[in-house]
Amino acid sequence: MNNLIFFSTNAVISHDFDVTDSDYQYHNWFNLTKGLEWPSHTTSRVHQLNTPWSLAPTVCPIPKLIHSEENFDNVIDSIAEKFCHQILQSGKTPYIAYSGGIDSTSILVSLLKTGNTNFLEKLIVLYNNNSIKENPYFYHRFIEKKLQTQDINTLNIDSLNFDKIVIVDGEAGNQILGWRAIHVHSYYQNFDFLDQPWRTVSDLTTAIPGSTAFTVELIKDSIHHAPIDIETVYDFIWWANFNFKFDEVLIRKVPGYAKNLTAVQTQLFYNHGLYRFYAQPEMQVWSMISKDQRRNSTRNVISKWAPKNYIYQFDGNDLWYASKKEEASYSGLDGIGSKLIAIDNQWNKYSIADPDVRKALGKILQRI
Amino acid sequence: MGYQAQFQFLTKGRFALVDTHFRNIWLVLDNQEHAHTIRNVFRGKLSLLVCDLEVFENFQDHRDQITSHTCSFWQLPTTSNTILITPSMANPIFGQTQTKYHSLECPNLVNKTASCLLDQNRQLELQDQLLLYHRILELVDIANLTCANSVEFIDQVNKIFSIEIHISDIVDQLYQLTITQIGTINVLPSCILTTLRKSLYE
Repeated sequence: MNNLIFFSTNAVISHDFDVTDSDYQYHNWFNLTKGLEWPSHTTSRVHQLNTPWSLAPTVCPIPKLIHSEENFDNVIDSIAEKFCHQILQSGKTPYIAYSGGIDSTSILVSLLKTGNTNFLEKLIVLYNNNSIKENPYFYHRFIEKKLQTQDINTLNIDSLNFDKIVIVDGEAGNQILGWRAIHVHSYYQNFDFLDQPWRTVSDLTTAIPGSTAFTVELIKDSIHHAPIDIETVYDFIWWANFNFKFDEVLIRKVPGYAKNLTAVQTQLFYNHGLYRFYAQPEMQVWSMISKDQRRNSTRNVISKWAPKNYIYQFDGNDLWYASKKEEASYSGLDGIGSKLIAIDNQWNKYSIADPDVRKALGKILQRI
Repeated sequence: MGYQAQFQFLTKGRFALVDTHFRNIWLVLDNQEHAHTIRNVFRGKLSLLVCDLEVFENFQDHRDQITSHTCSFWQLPTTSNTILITPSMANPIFGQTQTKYHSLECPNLVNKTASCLLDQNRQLELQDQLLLYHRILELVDIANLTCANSVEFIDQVNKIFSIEIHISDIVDQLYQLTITQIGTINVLPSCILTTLRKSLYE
């Protein structure tokens, strides 16, 4: 159990709650998730963490500042153009996992704007009933009877098709665009706090509700390696999410997608069968260079204004634009669950149900 | 030109439909079940909680003053329950009536207009949609229909309200749907036509 790209502290806690006890030597790592929406798998994209378990390098390094485009619409349009071109050249079938939330809707809009007839005839929208409930106007105007659709629960990825399809989803949207901790401060109108230089805040655990002094130290350590200046409390919160949570959101649905695949096939599917718009280098750079405009916007409009405005310009639905909040959309895919403890960089999975895994875990965590 | 309200029926009650972020009250009702039905049908247009206003200390004093005509001038205080701040379809708490709304400092309803990203005309139009739909729910209760045709008809009505975003489109489509059901389903279609101020004989 080495070179892990995923290690679920929550899965461990669900089987051994005492790891959160303050007497236990590694308890800090297991208490991180008390912070609002802190990932169960913690890794830094810019420096090596001193975890008790052996972490592999990040699955998604932070890109260099390769462009200076601050307009969200132009960035997502260019990614869509590139994606459509690649798909038509590859001959693969494109799917979009559509939850009806802001992130996947913005991606679908970009494909509808950019894709030619040939592409749109091939595109299959994966959805469920919740996708329709989230935005009935959009579904009935732009998807129903206009695009191919398939209930996501009927999607079966196996050895026969895993290399013939590409799935687009909205994962990493929250890391690019905001975070619940920012939304909570916006609700309480703590705008001056968000604007404040984080170095002047005496207790930074107030920035992320539920976080600990250890959380704050991890974030501060990582800021030394950040490619851009992290100045305000808003930056501090956004950076924590952008740096520490990216890997988890890219990995968390893969076991569900790839439940019928071998480790080798899963690795190939992860690398070539998933296309994450919000993890593309261009989008990550946009997130880094537009953080001030996003911070300023928290005073006037609620979170994720950039993709919401992008969608509104396309569909004209002012009610959804005005009321839609950042929220956890439900895709219908199986979650990672509490059995899966870890995944290594060869996509071998480690389950708590395996006695050998339990023994290895006991040694790593000094529990035996 | 400003929007001319068409369906400003008077409603009162302890159950409020409240915006999750800005906390402004869109509608007050005495029928809890209707409040949840409205919340679900308007899910794509409004992000709402159903709150029991009895938990606020000053509600009894203002109960008669907080009506569908005045509720937009009232808002809930902030809650200390951060779970309630960001709605999630996966979290069953949002499908429940909020009876333990933990306020931070103020245990009272606040007589103040909240922020809204819609202009006043659009807010009024949206409240008209809510009130029209609520009136139809009342008519459905009165008609007490059980036939398969009526179930299908009510589903179609719900679909119109969930998909369409402008009151003129809602009224047009309701009229087109309803006129086809006259004589097929008892009472309800003609009651809806009357509510829409449309003639049965046109």
